[in-house]
Amino acid sequence: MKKVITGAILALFIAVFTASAEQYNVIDLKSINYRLLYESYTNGNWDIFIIKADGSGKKNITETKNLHEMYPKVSPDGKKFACVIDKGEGRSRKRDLYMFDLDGSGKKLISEHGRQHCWSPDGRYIAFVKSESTRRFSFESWSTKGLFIYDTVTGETRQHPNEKLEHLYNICWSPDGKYITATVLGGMGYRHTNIGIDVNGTRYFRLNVIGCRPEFSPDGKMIGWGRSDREFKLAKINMSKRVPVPDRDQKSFLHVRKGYEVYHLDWSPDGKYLAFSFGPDGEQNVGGTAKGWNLCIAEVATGKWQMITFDGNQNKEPDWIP
Amino acid sequence: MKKILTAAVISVIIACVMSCGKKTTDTTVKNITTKSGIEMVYLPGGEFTMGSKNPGESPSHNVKLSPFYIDKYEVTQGMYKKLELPNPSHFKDEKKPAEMVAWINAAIYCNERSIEEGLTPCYDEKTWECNFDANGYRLPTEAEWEYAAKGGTEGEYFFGPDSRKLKNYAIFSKNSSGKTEKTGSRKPNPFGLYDMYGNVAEWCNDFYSADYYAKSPSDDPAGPEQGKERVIRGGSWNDSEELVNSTARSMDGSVNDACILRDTIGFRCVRRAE
Repeated sequence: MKKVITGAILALFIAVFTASAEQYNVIDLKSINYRLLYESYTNGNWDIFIIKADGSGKKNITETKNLHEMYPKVSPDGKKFACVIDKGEGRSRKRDLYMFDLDGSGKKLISEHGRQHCWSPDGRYIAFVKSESTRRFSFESWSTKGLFIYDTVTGETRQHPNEKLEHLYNICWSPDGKYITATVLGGMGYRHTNIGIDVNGTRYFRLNVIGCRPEFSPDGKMIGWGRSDREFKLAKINMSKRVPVPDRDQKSFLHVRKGYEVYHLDWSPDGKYLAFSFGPDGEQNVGGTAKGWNLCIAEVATGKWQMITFDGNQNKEPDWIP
Repeated sequence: MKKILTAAVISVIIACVMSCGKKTTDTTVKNITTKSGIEMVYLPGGEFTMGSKNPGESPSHNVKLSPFYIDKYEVTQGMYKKLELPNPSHFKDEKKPAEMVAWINAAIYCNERSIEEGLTPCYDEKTWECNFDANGYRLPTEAEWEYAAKGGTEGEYFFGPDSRKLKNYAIFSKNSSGKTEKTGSRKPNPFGLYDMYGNVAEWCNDFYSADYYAKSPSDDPAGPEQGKERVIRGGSWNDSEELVNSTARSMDGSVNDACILRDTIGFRCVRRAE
């Protein structure tokens, strides 16, 4: 039995490595002076880990046996992070939103049923959505209702002026503070698209982006997103234009072959790199099973990329620490 | 003479005991309403010819099915709401079928409906294996779906060979207004089932395999043991005649991936008849 397991692990490692072998060791990771947080599944449990961009210095900073910490988002000053914590299993599982100091101390509840959060560029607010159903737990990213904004100074939460917002996920606050972007599925008359939402108004509008999970570059001039399970695209973006992301500006950035997936891209604070999750066909949802997935870093200027973790412990949702 | 009489009496007694021990199988199609108020149709099971000569639907082969109940209508968004489940549908209306439903979410609906009615859920939510012995709701096998669609008839259409009649029974590309319509808005099939053709294509429980018909067991076939895509049947508001009929086979990979969900796919439930 041990031999079978060892063989399977070896085969998985070889398969993953082969898929990226041509890109292996092509970036000078040592020159990247940032660390990242990410979620990882070890010993039957999800925890938040911190790691250097070169893959060294990995450390579990939550280390809880009966709670699943996932989807870390670091504050713009790099001192805190917000993440979801799941309690229980199966249909009675419950997901709530918490905030921590970067070392994993200072745990504080932000919102029950909160998920899919992001920070405002000034670090004062955390935007989030809530689980749509409290009857049974859903892993679905889109299964959300409303958009809410938590004030870290006053501790108060207000609902976004447009109370009809629904089925939003992967929300991202624009660096100028005026907009929140999101993917929407089966909500507000949309089948599946990406939208911009006025932070202080009720208006929302299409970005002209097909795919999901748009993320702003730190200067707000570019976005990256998943065109499909296997492809990232990058483009210039101007939120004040009628068509924020014109077709002509959309460029394929990275593509992996069938049987593998790339998800969860995040721009480095200097805008030069993208971190993302990569692995064999799996579930990209927060808490979804993604065996063999690892973190990777790509260089924006060249498109070169490589893995920085190799344990395949369902490593997902990387978020750079400024 | 005495011996003959004794043997005859014993035979009668054995026959009587055997028949008394057997559960009587109802051989008539009939409507029922479930505990939670959902209309279903009892189908007595039996033998039918599955498949056709068309590529991908051959060889046609005899299949024998046990009795089962099947939803009279496609699962609606209202039915989703009743169970407080997230409704991913694009064309929002409680009377319209639920669409944009990943296969796993259809299975979750089946389990929730089972729990609501105090039945044993069929799906293991870790492996998504179906327990066919459980008394709860599940997705139909491909064979059950085709048997139900044919409604006791043979051939591509349950209304006969004239495809021009399809508009009376189905919402499909030639008569839809680019979206779904309320369930039951066209005529039913001979079993009294609505929208077996069109409106939304319907998930089946089976994994898809193009050559499965060549090796399918004849009794209660449940599809290949493994696969990536699941079978969908019946065609949708966006499909043409080639897919909107009793025998056309199709499949989809949106088993658990939100990024590739389609507003053309929904489902209906079945339940084994006890």
